[in-house]
Amino acid sequence: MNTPSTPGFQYGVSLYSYTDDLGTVLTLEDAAAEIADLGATGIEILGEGNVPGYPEPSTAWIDGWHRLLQTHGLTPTNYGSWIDSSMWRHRDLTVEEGTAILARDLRLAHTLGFSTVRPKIGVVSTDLRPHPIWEGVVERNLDLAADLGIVICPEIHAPTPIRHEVVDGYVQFIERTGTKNFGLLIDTGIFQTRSFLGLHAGLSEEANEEGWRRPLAVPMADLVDVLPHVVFIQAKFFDIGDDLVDQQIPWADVVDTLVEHGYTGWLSSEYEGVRSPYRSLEQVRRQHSLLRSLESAARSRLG
Amino acid sequence: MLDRELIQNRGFRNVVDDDGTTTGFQLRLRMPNYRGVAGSLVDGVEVEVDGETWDREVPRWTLQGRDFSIDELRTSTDVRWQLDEAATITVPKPGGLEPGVHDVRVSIAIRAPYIPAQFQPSLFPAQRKVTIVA
Repeated sequence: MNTPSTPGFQYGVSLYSYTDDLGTVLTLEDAAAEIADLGATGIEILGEGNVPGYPEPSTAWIDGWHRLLQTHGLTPTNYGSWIDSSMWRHRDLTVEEGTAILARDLRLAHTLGFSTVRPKIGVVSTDLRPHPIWEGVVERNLDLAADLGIVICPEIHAPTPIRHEVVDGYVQFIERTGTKNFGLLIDTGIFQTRSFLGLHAGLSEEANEEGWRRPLAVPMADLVDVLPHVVFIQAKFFDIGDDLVDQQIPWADVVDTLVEHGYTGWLSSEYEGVRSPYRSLEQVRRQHSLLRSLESAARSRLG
Repeated sequence: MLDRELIQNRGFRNVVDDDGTTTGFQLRLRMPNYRGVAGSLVDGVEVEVDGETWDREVPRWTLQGRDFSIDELRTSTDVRWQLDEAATITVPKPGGLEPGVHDVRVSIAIRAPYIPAQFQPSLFPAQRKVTIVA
């Protein structure tokens, strides 16, 4: 039933998509206009990336941000933050320090109108186990998150699949605390079925092979298992051809699964392909065209 | 806005001290990562100009109007290299660089705690030709 009363996905774009263009050949205003022109309504940002004067932007900038949202009809979606557990070479962050950092980002995200905050937590192993302070840091911020109406959501990101102790730990945390203010963010890079040969900036060939480039091909059944805990989806992709075919991410499977199991949250484009000037703008348009046609087909078929 | 290239066109110049002695040169760099970071996560920059190299421990950093050695930056607590604010790199070189076009290469090192330690620091190389005006 593809009728107006049937809730569908909400479409947005992460400003991460426009990395290297934003601030050099593209203003924030340009980016907002581009997102609105897609017919998308969500804008996702990185606090440490896209907020001038972070962590204390000027009042003038905050006012300008809200004006920009209003002008382009955009809703702030997810705010990316970091808990850099090895902030210094000689010692790790304490739980108290991490708690203060996450609290600071929750407050700034709230000021800017965001509803989810994704803390990226430092890791202590090659299979990306988060630094043990994560649990204390998040737990001490649950009341604040509730007061601000924000859900804290670590991302499930390659090379960590869904069936992994890291994800089990997050789910156990939700069950133990009974909180409504902690959930999972799925990065669709975990569904990658084929390699993308581009290199991730800053990482060696070895690191690319070990982590970011290796296709995990997480089964859709695993997504179904955790979907009740999923509060946000970053629609990660690398390259969509002129024929609107994505060779790396199985979008038809992803969209069918989400439609079938009633996901009506955000799909926020996260382009992570080649960073040549303006390429991301065209690639995000292609992804929106592809995802909308797949959603429409899935709802016709399954409705 | 900043140059899209990491090595900025503007700000490539010799450094002359108060008594008129040329002590080195400066270049400006855009943050190579997709987010700004605390200064303590900056792990230095190797600079090469026309084949002459200075390792990561040598250049001084100017961030948010303040000057740091790399060791001072690594232990800092209250300065950031923002995505939209260029860093000024000062390299000691008595006599400075000749006016004209130079082949400049850098390798910027930044630590990212969410990437396993064995793959750290992240290295961001860049090169371009830039001109010392006078």
